Amino acid sequence: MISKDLIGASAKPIILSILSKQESYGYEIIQQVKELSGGELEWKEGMLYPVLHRLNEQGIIESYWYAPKGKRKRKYYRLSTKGQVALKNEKHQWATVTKTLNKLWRITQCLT
Amino acid sequence: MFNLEKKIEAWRVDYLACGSFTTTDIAELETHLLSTIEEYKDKGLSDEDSFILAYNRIGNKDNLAEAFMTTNYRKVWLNRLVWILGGYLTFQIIYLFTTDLTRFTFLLNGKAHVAILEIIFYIALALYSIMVITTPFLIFSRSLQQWMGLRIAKPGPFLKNGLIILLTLPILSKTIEFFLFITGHISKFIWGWQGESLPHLIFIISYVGFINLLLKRRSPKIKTANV
Repeated sequence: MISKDLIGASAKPIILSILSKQESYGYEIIQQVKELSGGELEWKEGMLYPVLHRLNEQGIIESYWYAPKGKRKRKYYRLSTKGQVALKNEKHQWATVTKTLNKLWRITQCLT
Repeated sequence: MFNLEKKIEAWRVDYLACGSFTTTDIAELETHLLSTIEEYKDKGLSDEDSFILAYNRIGNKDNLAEAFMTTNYRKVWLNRLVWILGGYLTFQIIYLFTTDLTRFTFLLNGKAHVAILEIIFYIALALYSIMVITTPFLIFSRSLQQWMGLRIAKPGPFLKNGLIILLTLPILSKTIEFFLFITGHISKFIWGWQGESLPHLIFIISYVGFINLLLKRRSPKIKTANV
């Protein structure tokens, strides 16, 4: 299980990364996260929407209502140009964190 | 017998009544709920079980309301503002009607009971005019219609807020008089002119802020991204 704080912190890069591949809606985003993390990342589903709305307000993502043929009308989200910059920034930050942790953990592994 | 559509309708009413969600928020959450219900039904679960599981997966309503308030803060506030100003105007109209009428009928025949009857008549007339003015809005705006329906279906919070507004109105009226008296004298003293509209406006704005404090206790700015 991933801690609540880490889930909150990783929400933005995960959402942006999913939306950078293709436009999507809340339910589908959650399904993808579940699948990709093997069920380890468990989001409180309704809580995704305030995060999406905030990103939308910041202009990082855009939203529109759309009904594909034979399916119900849903609110879709897609990455804006500002969002692509934000994603790049997030990627850099997360790469730095993981790189640091990996280095630290490799050292401890050698010692034991 | 479990009725899925009725359950979803009740869910929608429950969420809207809490006042922190806009109608678009509810529509979006509803598509999520329906998708989750479908997911369970495809696995062979009953309507009832699917609904309960989907309902739980969306999350606790109070927590959600708090999180949604961070982005809906302005909209919810505006909604309250409209109601407070509406209430203030209604009060002013009734107040003007009644005070002028009492004076008028007393002068005419000196009979108190006639005056009271006429006051009741004019209050009814004022309420009727408000109804006539607001009806077209109710007919044309679906969300407003839904909202009004909710006030009738779930009158608790509405009555509480209404009561707070009504109770503070006489205080407001007296304070305005006092405020105008003071500022009038100050402006007369400084500029030789007794202006009324500016202090009036300042007062209404500060009153709205005060009412907002009374109605809204939870701070919307604490929560950060929390999925």
